[in-house]
Amino acid sequence: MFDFNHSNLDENGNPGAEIVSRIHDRFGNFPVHVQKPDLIRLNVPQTDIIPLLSWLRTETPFVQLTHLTAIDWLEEDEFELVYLITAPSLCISLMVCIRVNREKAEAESVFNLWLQAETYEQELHEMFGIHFPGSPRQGVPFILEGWQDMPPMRRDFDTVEYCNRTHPERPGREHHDSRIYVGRKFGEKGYLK
Amino acid sequence: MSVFDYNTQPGFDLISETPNAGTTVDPKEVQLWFGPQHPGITGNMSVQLWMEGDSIKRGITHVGYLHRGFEKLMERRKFIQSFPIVCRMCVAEPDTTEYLLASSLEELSGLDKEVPEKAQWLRTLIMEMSRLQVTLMVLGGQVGTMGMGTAPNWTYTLRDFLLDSFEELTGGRVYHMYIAYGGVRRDLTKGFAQRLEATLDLIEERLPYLDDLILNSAVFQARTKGVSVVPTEWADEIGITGPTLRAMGVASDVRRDYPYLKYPELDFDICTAEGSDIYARTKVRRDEISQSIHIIRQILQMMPHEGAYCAKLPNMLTWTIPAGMTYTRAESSRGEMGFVMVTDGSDKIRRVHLRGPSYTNAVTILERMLPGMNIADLSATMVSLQTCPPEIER
Amino acid sequence: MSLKNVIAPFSAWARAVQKPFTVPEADTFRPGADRYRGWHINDTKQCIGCGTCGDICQNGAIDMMPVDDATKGDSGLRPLVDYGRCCWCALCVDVCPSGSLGMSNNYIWIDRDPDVFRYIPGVDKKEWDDDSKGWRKEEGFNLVDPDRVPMPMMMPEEDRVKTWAEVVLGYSEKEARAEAARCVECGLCVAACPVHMHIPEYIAAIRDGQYDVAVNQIYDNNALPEMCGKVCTRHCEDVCSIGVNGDPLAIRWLKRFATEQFSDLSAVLSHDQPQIGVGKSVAVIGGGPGGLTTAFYLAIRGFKVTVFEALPQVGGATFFGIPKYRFPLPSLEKQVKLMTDWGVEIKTNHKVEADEFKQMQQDYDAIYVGTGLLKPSSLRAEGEDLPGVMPAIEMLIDHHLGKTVEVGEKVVVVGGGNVAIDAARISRRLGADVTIAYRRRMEDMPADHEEIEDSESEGVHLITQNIPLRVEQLPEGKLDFIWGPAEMVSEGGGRPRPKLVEGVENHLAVDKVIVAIGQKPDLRWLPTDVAEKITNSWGGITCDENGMTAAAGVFAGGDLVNDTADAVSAMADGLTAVDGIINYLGVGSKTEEG
Repeated sequence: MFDFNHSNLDENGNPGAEIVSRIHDRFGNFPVHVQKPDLIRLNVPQTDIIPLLSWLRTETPFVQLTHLTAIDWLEEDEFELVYLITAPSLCISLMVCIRVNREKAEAESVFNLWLQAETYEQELHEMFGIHFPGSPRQGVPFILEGWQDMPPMRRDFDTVEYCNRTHPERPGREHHDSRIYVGRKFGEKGYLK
Repeated sequence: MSVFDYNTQPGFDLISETPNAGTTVDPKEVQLWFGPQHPGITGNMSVQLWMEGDSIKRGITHVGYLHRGFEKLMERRKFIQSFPIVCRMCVAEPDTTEYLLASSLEELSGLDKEVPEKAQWLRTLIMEMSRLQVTLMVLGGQVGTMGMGTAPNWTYTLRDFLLDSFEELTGGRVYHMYIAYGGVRRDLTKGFAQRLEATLDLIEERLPYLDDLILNSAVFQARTKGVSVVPTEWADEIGITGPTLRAMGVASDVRRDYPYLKYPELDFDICTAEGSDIYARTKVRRDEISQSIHIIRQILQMMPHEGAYCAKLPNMLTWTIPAGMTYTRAESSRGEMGFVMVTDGSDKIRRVHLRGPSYTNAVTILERMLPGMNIADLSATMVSLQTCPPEIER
Repeated sequence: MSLKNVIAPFSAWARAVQKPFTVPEADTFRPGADRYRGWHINDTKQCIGCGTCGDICQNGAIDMMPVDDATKGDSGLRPLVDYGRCCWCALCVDVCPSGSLGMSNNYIWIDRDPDVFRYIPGVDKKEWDDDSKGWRKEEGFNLVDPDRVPMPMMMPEEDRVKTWAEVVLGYSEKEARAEAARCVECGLCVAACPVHMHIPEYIAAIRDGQYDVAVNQIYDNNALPEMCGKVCTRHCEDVCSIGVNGDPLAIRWLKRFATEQFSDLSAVLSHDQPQIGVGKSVAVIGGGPGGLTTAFYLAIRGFKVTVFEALPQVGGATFFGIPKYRFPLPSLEKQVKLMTDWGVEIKTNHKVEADEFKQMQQDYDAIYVGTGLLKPSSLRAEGEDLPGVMPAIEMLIDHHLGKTVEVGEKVVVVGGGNVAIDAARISRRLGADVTIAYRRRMEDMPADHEEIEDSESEGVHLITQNIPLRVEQLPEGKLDFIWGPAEMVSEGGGRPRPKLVEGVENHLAVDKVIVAIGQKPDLRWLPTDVAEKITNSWGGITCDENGMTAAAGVFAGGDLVNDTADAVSAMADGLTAVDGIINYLGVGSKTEEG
């Protein structure tokens, strides 16, 4: 384990520069974005994620998994998985992002590195339909119970349609949008279209 | 002892909730649902227990009684419309989530540079008031789970005096909806500082009486010392933060480690304790009450009296924020809370995910502490971990 | 475990005899804090029914319900709050552009019937309607943007009088989109606009950077939008909900921005009108904004339309009545080009006389008359016939036709309308020292207030409450403009009237007296029988709701018909005539609904 400390600043005073250069040396030149001094985002290929996270967990101060989440990029047909890895001794977090195919949404589990990943992966499986083979609670209901629809956090899950179907409006409710109402009242017309 | 020593659920199929083939079922084993309606439990969740006598063999945390799909709702609403939603992510402590929403979107939109000085102070004030009132509630709740009614009545009374201050400042007792983009929604009222000071004095005056009932009580000590110890090795393996971590003797606090708002200008100690048991966690909370009072007094003294309390906002109905992704964190009474916030250039949030300490505390830690625990200690353990179901399932 | 710890909890017993730490709170009524967010209250007189409260409510707890007739500046809708949905966040209060909505600090209301918890605050009377305490909108926290993006000017004010170039630079793309983002899309402007333009839609398109969409929305019922974008009297901005507690949206400048994005309008515009007018012909007499509107929207439906214009250039009052530093000629020509491209035939320098009109009634299926007001009203003061006293309208026409206009060194312009301001600013640019004399107060001036400010900043003097008494000849061709001060008197509740203060005479030595106190219709060119049939008491023309006069097939509009004397009202008349002509000819059945 090498020594990370605040003396390893780059010329901009950014203590994250050290870990970024180490990652680049070891795993290749991933795109890096410094969101703020204590938050660095890395976009890595899916194949590199487990070696990178294992290395961070075992050989660097980046020992804590603060968060694991997913973003549905429906337009690009991809899910983005975000691993938020924190070095408590340095007070820096890495946002390690990978893209996984949306059709065959599958990613390797990090349960063997961090135990609470089981809950995060359980939730992502339930809410996004991302499968983490080997994670202990895949398919176990977490928040939802008896859910039949598509995983609800997917972008194409239509919340309004679902609400109207399951919780219909009270009968007799009326609403007049002022824009439409005024146009109708004053005989707004179009002559081109 | 590492968490990896535990096999998650030996011989048990979680999906069908039945023992695996070949596993013999102990005829003395009793299945028991602890919650969701149980006076000693921390909100609407339940723990499914397999008992032998009064000893727990294993258990699973069940959440989902309070799932309202907030994160999904926020993806379908304009930024300003998300603001009445976030406070409901943690009922008792709405200000932390309000701050996280505001600060993360301010960071992505560039509005953070325009938040006025006074707004920063007011935000710090309400965040600390919020931590104080929750800690009071939990302190009382802690002994309440052990059958003592007096101390909870006292702490809840004190908390209610604080809620009066919240009501005066924000217009609401529980859901404050006070921290908005660009600052806060209202200025201090006239005489607010004096009234809040009086409440702080009252709390401080009664703390010794509460100590006699709680930390100094032989019964409380007997029930909590050495009970439900969270092994220190779990800190990194599970990512423990907040009082649970500080009760292991680790001086970790987001307010100090990732300075935000006006905390760098304030003088406060990070309260730690040794033992990592219920007693240690209660002691940390007890000490934090004093620290919060100390902090609030400083804020009231140092805060500027003049100036704007909110930046000039663009039209909130058409506000768009450039694409970006960030993570913002703050110290809640339970530990590190954070928002992963993603925007895509539209007038709505693309994705927001709350990182809350209860998530690990109520599921990963609690389930692993259950085997061998006496059922009489379960409520006390849950409260000491300060599990908050609305934050877990959102 | 020490004995002390064993005894410690028993200290609580002391409370049995001392004052308890807890308080008996539940038995007594406790009012909410001064800014408590309780039940809604609404000052319905102040409320304009813009529905912004309903738009911001993320719970969908606010429905807008009709309680009154819609008027200009008030949709007639009022918010109904459903407390089954409300979460008391008070965003509706903080966003309310008029500041009418508030919350009482009353929070207790018990009823067995759940349906009563839906009511229209202020309309359905509640006991807390007059509560002074509770959550109210505050200055320091505004969810809408009250500050207009300032319009950049071409040059410093002192240089402006030296040039005829356009004064206003126009928004940049960034400025326009920022200004457009201030709109809350309430649609109140649509009611106030005489042609009911799709204002929220084109503003939203500008905000989103879709300028082609914006232009199509604009042209949907406005054939001269670039003119409107520069010089419209903008009734829309008067009723803008943001304008109640801030600067109204710069609707006019935004329209201008959108139309200026495209040099070739036919490349971005399209229409899908059925060709119902093929084989029908329409004559439009007078190429002003009303006539051109009629011509344009009939032509795209296949009608054969010919515009007859007496001057060398169409545009009517927008051509000769508006100085070129506000509405440059290329801007007008660009819009006229689209009309001719899309099938309108224009005959300039063609003054229609009585005989030709009679022939037209035979040759054309319908005729639209929009010749405007050209006969200047006289000063009605002694000396009005002296040389050097001239009507503003003639001066403007001469000036715009390129003729030399002599104003001398010192000019007084009598009047307070846009024509007066234009005459004053043109005289200023011709190098004269200009004074405007107006009968009433500054706030009574019918001219656009921005125009008044601009003219003042260009060095035009303004004397209000000024009643001309007479004009006398002085040596060397100079004139003595004699006026008396007026005091404002209110009689019978109407707007205050100027009343001459007797016995005071002020003198102003000038080279020219330019009279801009209005124009009158001049319909001497009409055949006598037609004129008798269609003219009314003040010399104008009366039309039915279809824009048709008492003579079958003869339609009219513009200043001849209405007294608003602005281009956009004339264009509204033009649109009415489009529908009227289609109906009259019996060719349209389902074409009008846009």
